[in-house]
Amino acid sequence: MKATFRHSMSWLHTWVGLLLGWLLYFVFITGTAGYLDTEIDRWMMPEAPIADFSVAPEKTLELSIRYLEQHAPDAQRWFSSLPINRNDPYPRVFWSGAQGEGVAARGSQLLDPTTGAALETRDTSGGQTLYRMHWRLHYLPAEMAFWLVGVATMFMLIALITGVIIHRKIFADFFSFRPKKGPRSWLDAHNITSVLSLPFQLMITYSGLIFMMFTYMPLVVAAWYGTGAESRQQFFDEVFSPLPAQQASTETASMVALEQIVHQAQLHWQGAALRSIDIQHPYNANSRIIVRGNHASGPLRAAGTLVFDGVSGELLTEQPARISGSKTFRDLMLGLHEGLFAGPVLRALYVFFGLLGSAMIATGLMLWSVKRRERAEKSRQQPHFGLRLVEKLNVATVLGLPVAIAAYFWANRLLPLELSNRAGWEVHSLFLVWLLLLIHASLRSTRQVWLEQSWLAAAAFGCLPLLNALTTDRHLLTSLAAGDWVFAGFDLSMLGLGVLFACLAGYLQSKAVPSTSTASTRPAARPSKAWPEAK
Amino acid sequence: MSFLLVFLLAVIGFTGLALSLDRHYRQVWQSLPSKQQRWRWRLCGWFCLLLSLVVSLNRSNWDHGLVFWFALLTLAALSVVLILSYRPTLLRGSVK
Amino acid sequence: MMIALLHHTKSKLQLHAGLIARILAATFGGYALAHTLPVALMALLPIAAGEAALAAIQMSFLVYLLAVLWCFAARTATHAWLGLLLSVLVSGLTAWAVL
Repeated sequence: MKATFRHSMSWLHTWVGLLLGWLLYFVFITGTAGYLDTEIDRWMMPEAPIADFSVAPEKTLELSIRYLEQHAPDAQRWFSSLPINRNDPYPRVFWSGAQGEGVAARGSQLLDPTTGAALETRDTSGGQTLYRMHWRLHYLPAEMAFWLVGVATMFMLIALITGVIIHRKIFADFFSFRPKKGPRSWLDAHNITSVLSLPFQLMITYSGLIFMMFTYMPLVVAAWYGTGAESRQQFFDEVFSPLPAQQASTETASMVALEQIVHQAQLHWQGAALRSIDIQHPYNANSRIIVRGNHASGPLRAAGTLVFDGVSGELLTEQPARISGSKTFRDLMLGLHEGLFAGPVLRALYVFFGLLGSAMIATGLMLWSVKRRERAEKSRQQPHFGLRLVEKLNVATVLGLPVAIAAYFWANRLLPLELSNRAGWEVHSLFLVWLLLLIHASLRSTRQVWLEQSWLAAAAFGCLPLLNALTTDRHLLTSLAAGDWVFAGFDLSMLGLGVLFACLAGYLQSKAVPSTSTASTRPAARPSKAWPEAK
Repeated sequence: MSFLLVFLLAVIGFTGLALSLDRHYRQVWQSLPSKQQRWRWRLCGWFCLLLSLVVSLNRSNWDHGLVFWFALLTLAALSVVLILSYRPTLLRGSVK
Repeated sequence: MMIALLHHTKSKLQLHAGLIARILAATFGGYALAHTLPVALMALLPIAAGEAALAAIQMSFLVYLLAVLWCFAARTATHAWLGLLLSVLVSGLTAWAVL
């Protein structure tokens, strides 16, 4: 009975892991890039200045309001976010309900921190699009993408727990990595990457589900509030918002001086940073000004909110960061997932764990194919179609996706600046290159594909700093000299990735000489007992 | 810089736990530990891990500290795995 | 596949029928339980509706996970279905009675 239980868990682990494994790898890699979203943004906008976090909030606000008065007159809402940390390097304004000729009803714009004009940069999709891909899947309709990612995330959760259940010697094997032993080594690598980073993987998976919970489990809330759109809104108002929305009055009025609001808010929060000012119905008798604190000050993604009367400047209400237990749990989950609070060291660790998660998925996928390849060769059978398909998809995803992302960066520097829909073409380049690599994988032998694509990845990443030096005036040495660590850091990371892929390629090349197949070099040291095969 | 201390304590802690296991003890000393040695390593391991937790929580923003602790724990365990796989004898000099 | 170990005497068709029944139970039965059980549990607690709903929805994925594990751990597909249907029924009725 116990053995069958383990077998069925093993079966579940194998198949939920494989079925959407490539999608999960995509989600993990692009999500990991998301931990460096604004840094990537910055590299993809070489025209933008170094971010300056020391500008007084009053000055940024003045510039923002001036921009909004010019470009979004008579708007129902003006929103200005202040550059206080790497999460928002530049002042950003957002507006909705604007009126007037040649005026966009709603929009959002980054501003130049010194002049207050729109930040002049090339048209780029930037790090934001790369980061959003991990749940938006770019080309798919939103609803479909959410559900696909949701199913994949649920599969991941199942795979994590079944993985722990079927790992017979989780403590005895805790530190074991036995290299150069065929499938045994792949299993060890899979176990090490998963077990050691399990807290992160569980957190990232469960919190990923919580992000989209109202889409995935729509009827839970309905059990209390009913199914209509209004009752849904009632729930959101009760749980999340400090004050019911205020209708605009027909009377206009003058607006309170924003310096006064900033001053009051700073006094109230004892000098803690303000993250955003949200003006509802500006220059209206019913105007409200909502000031939010820094929601990235800790793992709990929540900030205090102050609501002021927009005419008199009177403080109307305050909502603290923590209001209820279940909201606090949600805020903690979202905060840990996004890691907005992480400083440089913790951010580097976040990236590392994202990569460990990707490695966990990749080694799992590899293990599936390496084992079956070995079995097929032992029994001298022709490897069946499924095995060959998995092998091709593995290499074209594990290596192909990084190359495609490098292509995204290349496109940013090489596409002509005046190209229409340039930002769109950056993304197309990513997926076109990925498609090409899939075709490449289907045409050549798997071993060759591994070798060729790792050389390609090494070149694609390793040459990026060179490309940057040739196409902008911010090459590595100038950015190092200017103390521009974001720019220099990007160049250096790409160089590092290039070296890493070159090492992989060199290793594969040295291994390829004496034998013909990755798995047939020698029989496994012993049959892997730790993970009973699904059969 | 307290994260360096936390990391080092975690590395020592995991080294202790690894050496309480026959397989890794043999990797380092080519012999098996006595029962007493096994317990001593285990105790040392858990103690250092606990100490690293205390050090990481002992700061004004303990919530950051806790996240840091989990992160550094993984990093430390991984370092011990790599040392054991590729340079196990390194531990002989540095631990004893 | 592993189900072969369970029923190696039965025909291949039956094998797959059992497997498909488990997958269906896990997917749809699990999804149903992920709704009813958290709602029932939180409805029994004396807390505000918004708080309870938010707690229940965050718990639902855990319940879904456990339901899936149950469907594959149960001795037969029939067991899996029966256990699931029973818990959906009981928790659903509880939720309906309390709310």
